[in-house]
Amino acid sequence: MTNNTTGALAQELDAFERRRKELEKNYPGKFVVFKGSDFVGAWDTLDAAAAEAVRQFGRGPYLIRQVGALPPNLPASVLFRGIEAE
Amino acid sequence: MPIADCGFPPIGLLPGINAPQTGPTLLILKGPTTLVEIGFNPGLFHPDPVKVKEAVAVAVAATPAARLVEALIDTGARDSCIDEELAKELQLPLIDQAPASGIDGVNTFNVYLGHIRIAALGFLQYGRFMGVKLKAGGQPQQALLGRTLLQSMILVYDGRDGTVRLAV
Repeated sequence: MTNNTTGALAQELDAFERRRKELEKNYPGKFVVFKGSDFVGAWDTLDAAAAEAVRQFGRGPYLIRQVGALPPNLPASVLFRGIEAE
Repeated sequence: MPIADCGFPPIGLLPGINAPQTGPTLLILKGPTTLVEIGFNPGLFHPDPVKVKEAVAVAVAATPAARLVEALIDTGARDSCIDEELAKELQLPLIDQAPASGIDGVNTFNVYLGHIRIAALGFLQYGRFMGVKLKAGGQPQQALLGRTLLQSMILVYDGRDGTVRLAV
């Protein structure tokens, strides 16, 4: 992933990328929360991280990501679809 | 045991197709489908596990929401997904973005916090869901129910008569 992110979570994703090495060293497998460029904290479970994020920031947006986890898995059913001939 | 019928009657219609189709054909064309409620309930994301348990009990017992949408039972999907347009419309909390290949090339996909409740079963799954372009891609359903949801269920698929039953 690059640091040149855009969109609603641009700041959070940039902050995550800037601190990625430190996070992988100190919080492997943990669910971390970023709001803006601020690191909010790290939790053992998604539920715990989400609970704190919702408590502090409501509907957000905010970043909740598991450190070191693979990107979300996209179902095969949405990867490819036939295209009707013009 | 609550059971949801996710198949089709012996004869039925599909939007966009004029002629009636048999149940087995409808099942091929549309896939096993059930009605779900999608939303975001802050009570399900509470630091106190007792409060979460209470919120789950209330959500499961609740009268079905005014708005239900169709969901495809997708054993090919690991995780359950929500239509991107619907997620935006419902203002689900955006919690992550990830690049992936989609129907129109490489895209950034959003990840949302929310819940999916199967109306006929009163079954609730909450957590994070990928926003995928179902409606934009011509899919009739607005959610995909993946294997993480199905792991606690029994699914009986009878392609011979077009019936599908899902039980908790």
